[in-house]
Amino acid sequence: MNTYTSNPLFLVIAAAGLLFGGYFAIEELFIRPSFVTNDALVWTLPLVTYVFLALASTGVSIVMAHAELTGNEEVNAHKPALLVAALSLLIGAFAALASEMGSPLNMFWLLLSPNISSPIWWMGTLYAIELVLLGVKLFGLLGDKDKGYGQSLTIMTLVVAIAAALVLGSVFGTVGGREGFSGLDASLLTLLCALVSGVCLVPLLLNDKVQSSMLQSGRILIGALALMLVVQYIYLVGGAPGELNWVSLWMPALLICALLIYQSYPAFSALVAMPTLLIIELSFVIQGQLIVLGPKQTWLGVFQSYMPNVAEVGILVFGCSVAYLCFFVLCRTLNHRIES
Amino acid sequence: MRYGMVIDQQKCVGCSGCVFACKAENHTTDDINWCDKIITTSGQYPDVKFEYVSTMCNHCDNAPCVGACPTQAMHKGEGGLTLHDPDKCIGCKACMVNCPYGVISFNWEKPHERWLVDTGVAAGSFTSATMLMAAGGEGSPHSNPESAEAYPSVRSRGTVEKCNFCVHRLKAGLSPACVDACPSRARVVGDLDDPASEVSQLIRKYEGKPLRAELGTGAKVFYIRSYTPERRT
Repeated sequence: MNTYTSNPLFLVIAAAGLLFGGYFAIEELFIRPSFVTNDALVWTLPLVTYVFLALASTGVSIVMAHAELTGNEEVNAHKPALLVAALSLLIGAFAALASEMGSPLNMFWLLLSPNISSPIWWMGTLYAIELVLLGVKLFGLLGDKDKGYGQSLTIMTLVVAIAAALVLGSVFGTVGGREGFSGLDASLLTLLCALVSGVCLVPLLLNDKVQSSMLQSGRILIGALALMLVVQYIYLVGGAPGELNWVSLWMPALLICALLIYQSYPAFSALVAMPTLLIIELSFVIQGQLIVLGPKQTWLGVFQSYMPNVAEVGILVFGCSVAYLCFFVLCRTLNHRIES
Repeated sequence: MRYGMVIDQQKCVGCSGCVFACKAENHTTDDINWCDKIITTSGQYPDVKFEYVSTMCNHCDNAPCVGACPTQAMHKGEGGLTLHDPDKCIGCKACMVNCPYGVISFNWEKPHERWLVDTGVAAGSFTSATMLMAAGGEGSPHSNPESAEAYPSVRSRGTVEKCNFCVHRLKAGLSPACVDACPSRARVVGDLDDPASEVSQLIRKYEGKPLRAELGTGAKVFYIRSYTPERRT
């Protein structure tokens, strides 16, 4: 826990990121629209920031819960750091999402007027439950009250995390009118992205080389995502009707690089894998919207292109900074509690 | 009772009268058209084809936007209309992504800001919002109080909006504004459940089809005949 909570450089970067991204979040929320969005391209980098951080949180939660249930002591020894990381990433995800939805208060309508047929409702609800479960676990750690209900809480966290990652994919996969989104592969992609995020981030928090207990599963998961992307590429390059080829071969190539250095240089592996995951998620979310539907074609053209602007990058920085600062504060609080 | 519409492509002259009538009736902003058009040109000179398809919300029976909306802001109303409650809308845009017809619009900016301006373009030619409020009126000088009964005159930033088939007019026994404004009577509205209604008869007679019928959304705006100038007498 020490490396990432005591380095002043990380803290300064995160504080600067909070200011930089916060400016654009405030501008978007209260002053004027600043994203590169229009009526045909509605979900861009700010939403992908949410997807990226939420899936990363899910991945860390799954690895943590799995280690707890299987009695993996190498990972369990760092449970507080993993728990705080999962919680912080999710808070960062919600911070990014709030800027994307026009008002942070809008998210509460999900609870007040639910539509259980909506994948977005399930996604929001499951991630809210995940946030509560992680919060309860943290509260248990702070108060040393994790004894009685620890295992059932862990099982619930695992189930909710897996369900949340799958449902997040179904937000896109159930869109029947857009061939680029529609299909079960969307849920498989988000689950694999979550798992790869988890196996890449967790070693960073263990302050050591990747332990033998995680090595095989980590390699298998990174390889599985790379394989899925290659299959997707082969399918799309053949010219599937109504679908654009959003997969580039460098995506699986970079994942393979991350896989190869996974054991020896976990930090570099994560440094390669995490941006690749972000670009994979961004490419997937954007491609489904590039073909313009209906009368918007008359105004925007049949095809669009997308390049994020500074404000959107700012929201990415904002979400990551919020996540890191939460991680810093919570780790300090935990350390202080343990010491006292 | 299920409201539906028939658009006769042979009668439609592409004048956009429906678009402007809708705008006036429902006071949509500059960037938003509830009633809109898909214009396509195809072929090579001299065999060029120009096609104009008037389009709006299809009020689908199995509306993907209703299923996707997490807060029930998009919902099914009386007569099978797909309606939107802006008070419940959280601006997630799931309805826009899920609508296969691209007919839902988002208020990216604060709408109708110009309506709040207190200075006119020319002296005496402008009723400002302040003057309206002073006289006891509501909304904006440009707003239509009748449609405001069904949908807010001034929309909120960060919410979506779309055609509601002029539900306020249907309730009053009138046709939607686009139907009444069409100079060639290309549009007919009526009850799809009534086999004797004009819409049902036209659909049967000309084998009317909705847009993207293969999706099975149960779209209730049907198109009949195609633009064939040689048959236009």
